[in-house]
Amino acid sequence: MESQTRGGDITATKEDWTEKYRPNTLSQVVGNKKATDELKSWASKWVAGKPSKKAVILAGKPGIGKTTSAIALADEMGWEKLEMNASDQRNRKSIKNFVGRSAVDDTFSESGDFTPYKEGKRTLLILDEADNIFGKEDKGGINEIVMTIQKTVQPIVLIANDYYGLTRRSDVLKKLCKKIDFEPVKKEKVTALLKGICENEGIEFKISALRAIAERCEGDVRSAVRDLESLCLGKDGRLTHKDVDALGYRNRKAEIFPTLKDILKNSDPIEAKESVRDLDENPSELIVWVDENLPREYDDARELLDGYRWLAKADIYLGRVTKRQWYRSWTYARDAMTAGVCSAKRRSHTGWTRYAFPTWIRKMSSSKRTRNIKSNISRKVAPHVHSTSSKVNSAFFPYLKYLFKNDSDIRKKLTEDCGLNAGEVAYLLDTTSDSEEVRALFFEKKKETVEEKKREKKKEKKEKKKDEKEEEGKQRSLLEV
Amino acid sequence: MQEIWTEKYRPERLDEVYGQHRIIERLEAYVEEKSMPHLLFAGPAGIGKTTSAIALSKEMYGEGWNANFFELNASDERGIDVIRNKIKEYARTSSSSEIGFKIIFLDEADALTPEAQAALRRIMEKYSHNCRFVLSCNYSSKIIDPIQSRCAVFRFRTLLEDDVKKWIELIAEKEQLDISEDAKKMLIRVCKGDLRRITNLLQISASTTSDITEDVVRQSANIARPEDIRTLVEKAVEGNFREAKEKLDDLVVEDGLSGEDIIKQIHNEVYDIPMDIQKKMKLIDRIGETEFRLVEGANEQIQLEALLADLASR
Repeated sequence: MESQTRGGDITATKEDWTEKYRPNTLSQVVGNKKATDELKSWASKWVAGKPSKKAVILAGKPGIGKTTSAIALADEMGWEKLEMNASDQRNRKSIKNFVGRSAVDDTFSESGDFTPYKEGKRTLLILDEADNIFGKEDKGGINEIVMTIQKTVQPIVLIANDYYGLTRRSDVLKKLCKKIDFEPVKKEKVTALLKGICENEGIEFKISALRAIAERCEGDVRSAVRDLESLCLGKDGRLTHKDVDALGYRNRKAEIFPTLKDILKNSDPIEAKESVRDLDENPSELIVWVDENLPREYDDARELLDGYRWLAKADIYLGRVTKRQWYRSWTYARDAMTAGVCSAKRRSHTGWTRYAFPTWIRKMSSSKRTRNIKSNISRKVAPHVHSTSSKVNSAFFPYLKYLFKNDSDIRKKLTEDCGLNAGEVAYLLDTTSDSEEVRALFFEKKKETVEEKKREKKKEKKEKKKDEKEEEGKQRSLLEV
Repeated sequence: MQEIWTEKYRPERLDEVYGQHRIIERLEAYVEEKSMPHLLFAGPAGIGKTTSAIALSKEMYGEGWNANFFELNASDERGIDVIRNKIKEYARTSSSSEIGFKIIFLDEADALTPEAQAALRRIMEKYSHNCRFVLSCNYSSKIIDPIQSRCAVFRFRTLLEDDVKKWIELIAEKEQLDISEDAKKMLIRVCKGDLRRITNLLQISASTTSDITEDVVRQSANIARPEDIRTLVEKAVEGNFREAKEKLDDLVVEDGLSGEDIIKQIHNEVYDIPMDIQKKMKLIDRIGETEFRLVEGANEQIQLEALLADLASR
């Protein structure tokens, strides 16, 4: 929870390359021109006053320049910067303290000497790893951030790998922030960057080696620089393609496909079993890969049947690991999903088969958001129907949806009683949260409460007057006595 | 005083680490250069991950290595608070050595919760002038992508038989043990390249005699003669239940083996017994089922006999 302290160290430490070669300006950021341009144009609006969106969310995979761009932006604009990340506790109170130091609201900045706001000086708040503000450890953090954005007079940058993971926790947050997407960087650009570093460090290289590093990094620039560093430190002589083999793969796809081939194409079950020994994949993940690719290879009905019998057995063994804490069960699970599945073949499988990334994982992650909304609704509704959230989720949900759609009284009552938010109402109505129906519901609710409050106030006033009169009467009577 | 051998023989220097040449070559270059990136060591147990991390630090700092090396076993302290407090605090203070940075070694980092790993991300960058991280894990898939992106990943490979053998011979020489060829084979077979386990087994074996035979190793490891297990299975498969059962009784009574010991070993041996592959696979599944029943508290005698009867009927 402190301001950035880069470059100021005086020890003889040889600087870490990913820090040494971290770009200082937005134009030095490799790739992602569109994103950095957008960021810059958003920042320039702050010079004149306040833009309509006071916060941006930089979204994208690790190592492609999100944090770097945020820091470079502040430097380029001549702004102060304050950074908070997942290594800081970020609950309501600590965010409040943090924000307090940055002169978020006018009152503070006018009287305080921290940021001469009126002279156009700004402080950029950087909330890094914003998708990692945790429900339990960082309680109230998201709400506090929403409130900060609403009242801030300072620019705010949120950074996240998982945009949906962040915004599904608050519709308001999503609406308040401008989204800027960062993309993985093309390998030609990564190669060029590596070349520049080698030249700067005085390292001889074969360009094929740099290409190989760029290829493996899959758009993650930081990991490419890291790999180059790990290969070049203390190296005698030229960097060649062969040197690159010393690196382990980050991505496991490259290693898992040969194993799948051993299981699904080759005919020796024992070999299939041995094949996973050095594979860096625990059985509960491997099974998903086998599951995805088994039907791509086994086309005969009998092969499919036997193949899936083995896979189902493997699954039972995996279940016993979690349920009984019986870890040796893993070896049986592994045998079943490798040698077992392999032994189900009835003919030899030759030729090339296109194996795929498990669609199940992809579908699960893309449906994560809707599944979350659904389970939130179930949780909120459950106490009102004297049931458990899992029962509501599995059995009651279709009725709930039907009633909600067709009965406006029930809709109103449930929304209020269960405290459903706009996103949840929209989900039940199969519409978006800014649709007419949803807004009507929430607008009406607001109007009602406002009128109720007015009525209450009037009532209070009347009662107060009545009290005062009575009091007066009492005092008078006292005097008269 | 007798020391634990796994510590006594833990290699002090990088060039004493067995079988990870390419990795060691890189680590030695880092020592030479007095600099290193963050590292992630991945691989199975007992093949030199922790040893390499410690040896790296010893060579990097020399005498005062201990003051610049902070080790935390993540499976003991795996939550986010450890990272936000302990690790961050240590990372913030600068090193007094001429190297300029300290090494923080997070052993079994795959046990860290995803939240704790997330908390580590910016620490690794912001304090890289103060410290470098070495993380070790069995499965790198349990390490979140943003951390992997910050580390050079080295995959430690299972050791080759030759390397394991050399290791056994090294200890034999230092402890003046006479280890027979069969005993070596048995050790290799049982421990599958896990040097820590081999070293432990050797120490247990050596506590009774310096003449280490196959039988001595077997008894230390609680395992039956492979031939006995083989006969047991073969008799049953031939349909000779009675003889198979006698063999089983011998193993329990004479060798003092438990049902679980025996079933585990049947599982290990069965791959090498010549048998129709379809039958073999079914047998393996049946073995897994039997072991599960034992874990659940079933009667060893009855379950093993039922297994043999099942084999005999096929």
